Amino acid sequence: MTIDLGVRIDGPEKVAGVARYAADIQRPGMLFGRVLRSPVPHARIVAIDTEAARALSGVHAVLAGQDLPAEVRVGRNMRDMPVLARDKVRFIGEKVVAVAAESLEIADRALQLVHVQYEDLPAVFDPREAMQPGAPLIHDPATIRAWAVREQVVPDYPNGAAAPVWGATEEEVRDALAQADFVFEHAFRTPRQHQLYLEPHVCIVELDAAGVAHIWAANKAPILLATYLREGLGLERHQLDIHMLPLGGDFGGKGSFMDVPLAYFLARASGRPVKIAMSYIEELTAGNPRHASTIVVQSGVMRDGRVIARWLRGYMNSGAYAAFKPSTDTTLPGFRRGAIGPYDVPVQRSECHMIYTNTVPGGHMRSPGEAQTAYALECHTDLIARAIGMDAIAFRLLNGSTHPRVSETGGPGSPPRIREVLELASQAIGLDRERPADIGRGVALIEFNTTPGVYSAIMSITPDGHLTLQTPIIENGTGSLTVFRQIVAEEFNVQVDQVSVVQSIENIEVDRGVGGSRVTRMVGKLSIALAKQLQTRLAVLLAEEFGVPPAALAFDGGRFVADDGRSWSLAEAASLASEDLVENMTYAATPNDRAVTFMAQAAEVHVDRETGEVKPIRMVSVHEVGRIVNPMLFRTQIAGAVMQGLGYALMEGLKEEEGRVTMPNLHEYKIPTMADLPELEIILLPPDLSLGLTPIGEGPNAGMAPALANAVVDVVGPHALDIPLEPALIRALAAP
Amino acid sequence: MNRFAYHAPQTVDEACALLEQYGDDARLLAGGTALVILMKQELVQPGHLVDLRRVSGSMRGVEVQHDGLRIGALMTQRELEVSSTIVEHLPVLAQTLRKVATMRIRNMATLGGNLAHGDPSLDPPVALVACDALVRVRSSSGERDIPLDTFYVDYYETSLQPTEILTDVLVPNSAPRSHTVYLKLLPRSQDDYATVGVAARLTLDESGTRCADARVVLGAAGSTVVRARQAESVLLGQDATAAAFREAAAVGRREVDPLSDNRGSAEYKRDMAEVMIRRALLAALAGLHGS
Repeated sequence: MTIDLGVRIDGPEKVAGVARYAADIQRPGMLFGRVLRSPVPHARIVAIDTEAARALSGVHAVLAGQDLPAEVRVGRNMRDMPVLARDKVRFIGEKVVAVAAESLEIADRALQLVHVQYEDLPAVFDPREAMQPGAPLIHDPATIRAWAVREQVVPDYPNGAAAPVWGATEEEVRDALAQADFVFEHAFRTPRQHQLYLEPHVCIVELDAAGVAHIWAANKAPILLATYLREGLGLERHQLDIHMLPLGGDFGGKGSFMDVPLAYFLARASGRPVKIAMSYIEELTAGNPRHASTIVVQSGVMRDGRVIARWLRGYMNSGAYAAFKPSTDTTLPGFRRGAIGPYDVPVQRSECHMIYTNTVPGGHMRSPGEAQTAYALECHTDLIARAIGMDAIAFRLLNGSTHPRVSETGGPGSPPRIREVLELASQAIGLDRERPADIGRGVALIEFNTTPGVYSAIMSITPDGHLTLQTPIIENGTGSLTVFRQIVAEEFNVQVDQVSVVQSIENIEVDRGVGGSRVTRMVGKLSIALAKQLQTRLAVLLAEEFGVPPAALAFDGGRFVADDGRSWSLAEAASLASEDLVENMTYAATPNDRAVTFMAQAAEVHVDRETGEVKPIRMVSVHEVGRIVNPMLFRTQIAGAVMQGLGYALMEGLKEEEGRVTMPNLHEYKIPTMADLPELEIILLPPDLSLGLTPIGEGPNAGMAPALANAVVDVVGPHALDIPLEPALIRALAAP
Repeated sequence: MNRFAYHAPQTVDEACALLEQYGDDARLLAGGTALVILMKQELVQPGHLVDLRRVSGSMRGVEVQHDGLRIGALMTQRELEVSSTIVEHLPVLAQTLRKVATMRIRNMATLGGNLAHGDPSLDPPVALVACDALVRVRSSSGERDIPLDTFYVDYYETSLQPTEILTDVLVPNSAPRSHTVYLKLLPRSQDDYATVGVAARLTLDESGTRCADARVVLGAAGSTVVRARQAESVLLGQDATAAAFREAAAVGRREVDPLSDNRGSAEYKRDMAEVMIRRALLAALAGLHGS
């Protein structure tokens, strides 16, 4: 049977404009929360005068840090962030005073009546300056250690939040580098980047008489949000009622709690529901952007092109708090993967220095950590190939990983198809073809893998055979609900209109939520397992009713078929049940569930030598794939990721001077529009079903920026280029 | 946003009367693409908003007159971009408008609002100064025509009085053997303000080789639209060649005074002014030769 993929589940409501996002939620008696933010990067709070604000008619609550319990700190893992600044402020934009009032206008007027007296402290903005002896201390070193989480390695230098090291010791890597014929070292700087979802962070918190907090938030992972509120605010799970809402874009940025804890305290203080909606100015100046970084990478290379040693050090600008990092080691999950890349280097050492500065705290954005390290590693790789006179593809192939993957069942899986993806990308972009003047071409090779997680879902069937999958996954715009529906329909061999997908956290305790390009793979696997479980249960019902041994029943073509030729529909089987047919499953992924895929990105650019403009002409994205559920959604993930990679390389640097974001609006902060996009060719290798459901959302994002930079180097010569590429610099390098 | 009284006059005279009555406390609303943002940011807090969008008649339309074009100030940028009259008689305006922001903005924003805003980074003023355009302004006490060239005073400041309404844009017919182009340097997104914008008009004499007249006008290059008069004078009487354009561009770079910002340093922008002046003149010459 051919299954019609149907329209996207979330499509009609969004197209008709009737989808209700967090900003659309109104509650009886609801107040509007607004916050006064710090105008200075680092200062002691001497005094806060809120008397006039409190006296203003229509104001129901005014809170400063001192009004909140001293022990309350929030964080996705390391809880180092106060809900409102206490004693001192650590970045421009930090929340200092909050009000809840009957209108936004009254709330804003109340904030104008608040007077805060600051005593400036020396501030530091660059991570490599912040780690030097004598640098201003942003947090008390003793509290950093006290608040560190289990896997967090706190370094000894000033302002270090975490500094894990992987691989060889310093001595081992130095010795190995000393053995090499050549040692190459390059440093690359990558910028802050804002996720630029259309919908800013919005939340509403309402407390009922029983002390339950009802929460509506632009947040992508309700179960994780509940965890953050439990740990940060000391609430119990039964005190949290989190509503599922459509999300107006995520790109990694909607996993944080943002203003929910503050709205909770305002609701508590005012006795009314409180909504806090960030303006886009607040988003750009005080959101949770991608971490800026400086990546220094050193490689020892033999004359024949073999890389025998590599030392990569990342200096990540954590901003003033580490609270937005969900990784259990308080770094970024993709850092190490991007630092090692798709290569086999015998001796390597990777260091991730997560350093506090007096700037906006960094958070997650599509391929967090990997976007930074993959940029550096793939540019470094091209520069080495050029320096030793080796072809960029041949150099990568010589050093590329050859280890077979581990299959989902734990046995040996298929080998990496590095050669195929690289050669297809090279041919498609014309890496070996003659280059017209000022035209450059470049490639990048990426290994992407998913990190495991725990997922839960509930599947049920009605007596008339209608299937329902209940999931706590938020539709963040990728079409995941539509993919789940299709997977369930395929497992039962029914049309998609016989399957409903319901978003709810009712009766679900654990779920890792949207992120890490894991959802289709993990929830897909869970849905398939639930379908099998439900089919088994239905078979047992049939077996009992009709006296057939369960082993003699097969589910085939949408029907249960006995070996004697009798068969029953889903509805016939389901109608036999005397109780609700509901299957509940929590699946904790094993290391074998990690998907590993390889991809190559390529770009062709024109460089205007007089102006320094870089115009992309063509882009190519080549992927190893496993089972693809919905080909259109799969391709749109690639296209979107490539577009964000292009923005990262060419324009999306959220600039800041002395801790002040100088791009506080969308006049100044630019992302690509359709007019900025060149032709994109997507090439998928024949599916390798042993890979299972392969991830797609993030890898192509990490690879396009270095492919573009390598194409620019092809024109301007071998230079370690910082991103976003500055036209004035490119012009200086390319001067005719 | 502050609270304000909203007025929706039906005629220009009614609108003028409202401005007369409320003076500095009133602001005119046309497309709203600039004003509403300023109001939301509370940079502008008018007590009275006079909405021109219901004013019918003369402030709309495009008319071909014997000495040039008259364009109603309330025409949206998108209407003009696709107007067959504009495409035929003033192609440089259609080409310039295509480079303004996005279609969503151009569907709302009007030409009059754009010219009256006084932002030196906007594109249409640059192209229209090169076309020797005038703006017609009306108040309760009468009407006057102001050459666009002298209309701009400083950042966001024009010679428009608080009681005056910009009603029409007048673009004289260009001389024979004349061609005008507008180039916009956009090294980041295509949806951006110009890093530098340059309009060039080249008019050749009867020999068809020498410059009889020239306009070199720059945007995002100073506190107002900048007319590079010295660069223009370099060209007069000279053969229209790449060498002459190079010389004019080298002179023109000294006539600009750009600010350092997120689009580049003042030094980079000055360099770009020179590059873009030369390219604009070359493009104007290419246009004259029909290529």
